[in-house]
Amino acid sequence: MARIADISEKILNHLIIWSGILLLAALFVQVVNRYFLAISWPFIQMLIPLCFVWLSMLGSAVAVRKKLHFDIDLISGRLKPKARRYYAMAIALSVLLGGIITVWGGVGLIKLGFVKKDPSTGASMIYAYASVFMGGMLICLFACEQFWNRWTQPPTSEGNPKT
Amino acid sequence: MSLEVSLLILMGGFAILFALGVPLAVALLIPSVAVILADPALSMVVVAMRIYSGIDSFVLLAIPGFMFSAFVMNRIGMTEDIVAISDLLVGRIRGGLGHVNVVSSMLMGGVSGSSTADVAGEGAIIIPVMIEKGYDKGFTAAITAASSTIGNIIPPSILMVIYGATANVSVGALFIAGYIPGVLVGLQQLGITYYYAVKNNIGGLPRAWAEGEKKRTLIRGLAPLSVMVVIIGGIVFGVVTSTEAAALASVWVVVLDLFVYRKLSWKIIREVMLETSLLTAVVMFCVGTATLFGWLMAYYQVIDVTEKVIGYFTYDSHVFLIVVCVLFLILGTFMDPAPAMMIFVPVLVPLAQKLGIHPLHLGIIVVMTMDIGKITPPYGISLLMACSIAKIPLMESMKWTMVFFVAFVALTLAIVFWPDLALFLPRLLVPQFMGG
Repeated sequence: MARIADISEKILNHLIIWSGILLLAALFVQVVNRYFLAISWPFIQMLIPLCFVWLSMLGSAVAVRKKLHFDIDLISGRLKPKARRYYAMAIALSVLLGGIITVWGGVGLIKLGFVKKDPSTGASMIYAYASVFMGGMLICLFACEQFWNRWTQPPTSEGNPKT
Repeated sequence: MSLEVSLLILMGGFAILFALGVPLAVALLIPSVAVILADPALSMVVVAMRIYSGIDSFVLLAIPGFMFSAFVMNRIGMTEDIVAISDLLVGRIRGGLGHVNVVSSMLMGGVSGSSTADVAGEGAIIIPVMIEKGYDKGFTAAITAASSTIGNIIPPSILMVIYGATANVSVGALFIAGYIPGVLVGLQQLGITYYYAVKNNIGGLPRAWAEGEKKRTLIRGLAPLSVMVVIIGGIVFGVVTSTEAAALASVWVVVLDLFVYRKLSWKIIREVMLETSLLTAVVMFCVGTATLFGWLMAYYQVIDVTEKVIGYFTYDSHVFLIVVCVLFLILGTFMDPAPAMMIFVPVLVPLAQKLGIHPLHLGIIVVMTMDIGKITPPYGISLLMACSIAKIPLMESMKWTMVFFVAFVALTLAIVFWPDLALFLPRLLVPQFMGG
């Protein structure tokens, strides 16, 4: 499980970095095109939201693994190590549920993507809409890993599993 | 399903899940889906559709641009230049380092757009120096956290971008409206710092500038100033949108590094881009789920209910704005600003307009109160970061944090009662966005 998650994260990191670079570069090119060359490239107009949604969905999956998502911790500090472990497992399950919901909704969006086309380029919207489904799948993967870690590893003195 | 039951599931479910420690985005998603599944008129494709439409926003594309330029500035040493030029400007006044801290935040605010980037960048430089020079650790953490919030008020501001996208108002006009309140917050904090210096008998920085050093500092200060010109100049003169300005700024800081700083490597760019992208993704996923949540609130006509509830208590615009202040102060302490705005701003803007409150005025109040939330114990993120850099427990900074907190609240109330403090500049510079 950890190996699969490690490999996935490495690949995702590359994809996220390139999505970010492409996004900023495309925005810059769009400004230059509009104000200095007085032209507009339709594929850039499609590329920008495409990069942004993929960056957001893939990044939010990696953020599950890196525990970057916003939350407040009012409870775990007050729990004993064993209870804290079960609490962390419950939180991981809630994230898994969030991932499953995203995948579930994403399937419907993929179906819609097959019939919808981008108005400026005529390209299928599946390329953009698939990001929600993929993001959901990856959120599930990393949530499962977190649950598995807490399930298999004994709690440390602080009650958190070794990572 | 009845309005009351769906509202109870949405609001109650969200509050319970979030308080239990479930990540914010998931705490918004689960009750939304529960309501959708219980309502035969709605389908699951709405979930993905709304998340997607929330993320696919041209205005919000400014977020990665502003974040990237702020992180690059921290990495290439532009933050040090800002601190140096602040030292040149105000270092000699009593409590010099405190003043340098505030003025750096004001200048940094003019280029970065993120208070968190300000604490992380400038705080890491100035906090150890202030402690070394004998400033109280609690005061040091408090002034750093409080001054970092100026970054969200003085444009460019990521919070204003989010408000502009949600309330459908011009981000450029919002940026301009932020100048006077931002400068006032800065002046107020300079005043408190001066009082602290007098009370503790702290002098200015008796620094002997070497020959030509002042000139060099001023020249190097032109680099961060140029970022400000690119962003604000472009927006104010209507050359670019805020999103395009963010993209220009991110390219401009890389160009500045190529010709002035020469510290960026491909490895650093990758690290900065990953950091930027992950933080953007966290915000955007919350924005996506908050869009779904907000859409459901609109679907069940929560705006009408809220209007009736608020109308029951008051038809006075000042009382309404004070209620908004209290609401966003609480939200700002516990929640990330983006989802809080995505959920509540669409509900509040129509009500505010019915009471004759300009959306720009409401925007500045919302941004300022969310900002105060960032220094409100026990979960204010800027305060926690500053205390972590100063290596002190939160309680040690409490006394001075409360001083800055009360002053900030007082100024926000002043803007509630005198809207011109926020609206004067937009009326003067961009009357086309003011309506009427």
